[in-house]
Amino acid sequence: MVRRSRPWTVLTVVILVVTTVVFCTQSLLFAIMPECQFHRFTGWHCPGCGARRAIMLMARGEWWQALRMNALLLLGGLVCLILLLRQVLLEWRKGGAVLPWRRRHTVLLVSLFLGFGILRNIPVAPFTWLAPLPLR
Amino acid sequence: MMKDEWFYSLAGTQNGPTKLDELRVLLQSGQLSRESLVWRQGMGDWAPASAVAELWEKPVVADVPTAVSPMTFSTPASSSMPVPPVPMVAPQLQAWQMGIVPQSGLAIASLVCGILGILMCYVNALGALPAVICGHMALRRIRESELPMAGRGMAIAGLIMGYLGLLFQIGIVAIIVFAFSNKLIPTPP
Repeated sequence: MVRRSRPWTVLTVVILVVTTVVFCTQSLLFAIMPECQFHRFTGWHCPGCGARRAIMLMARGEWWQALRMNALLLLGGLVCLILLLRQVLLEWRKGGAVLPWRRRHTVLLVSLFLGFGILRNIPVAPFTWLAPLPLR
Repeated sequence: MMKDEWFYSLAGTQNGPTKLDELRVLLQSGQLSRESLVWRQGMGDWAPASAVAELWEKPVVADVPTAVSPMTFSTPASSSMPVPPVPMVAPQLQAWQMGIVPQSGLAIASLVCGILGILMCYVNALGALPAVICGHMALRRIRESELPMAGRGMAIAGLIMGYLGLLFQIGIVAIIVFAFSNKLIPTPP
């Protein structure tokens, strides 16, 4: 019998477990985490800034406010979730799932992260919408 | 009866002959795309893989043979070299014969860690370092694998994200050290 490896299933389970733990312990976790040192010393927002606030707002059910804090995390996370579910379904139905990855996907991914990190620091509308706000 | 000998174009070079099953594996692993040109005796001209229905039919899984020759990627110059039979069929080879191409788990891990490393603000190294390690391991494993393994592009993407994360980490550490050494911020008592 052929033993099949299911890396996408393993990855999805790990992500679900970690996400559950983070959501359940967020008040403790975020209390001990210091503020973003990159923002503190430069005044700029890195691509990850606002992620902590976004997670806290998602836990409260305030999805629109969470999107405002870090749109890349929410929209990118949604796309990743759909892709993961697709891969897991294919792994169990067809015994294997290769996610095609071309050079243009790498270019898109890197451009997205760097572009988001640069655009959210432009102090002109509509780019200011990408910058996170202090949590009230 | 037409021979099961296919030729394909890769990076501007003609490759083959290869069997239909091997060509299907190349397509599934991503080494060939749907736009890659293929040809077999009987076809009028080279055609994109997407236009050849045979390549997308589900392969018929025959009884596992007791002896099978390993897959070869031969160029026209080396296509006459004999291939010795393999006495036992390894489980990985069985899976390959059924059209299941594995995707490197290390490549997937590299990409995921690389993305997390960029998002982790001032502790980028926590994600970036595993991304770089897994990326290099994945590329080596894919390169040394006797059977086709998918994930090279993903491993490269993970490496790029990992190195970017390490760059950010080095940058933020340098900024903090500069700020402290120039007394731009008060040092703790």
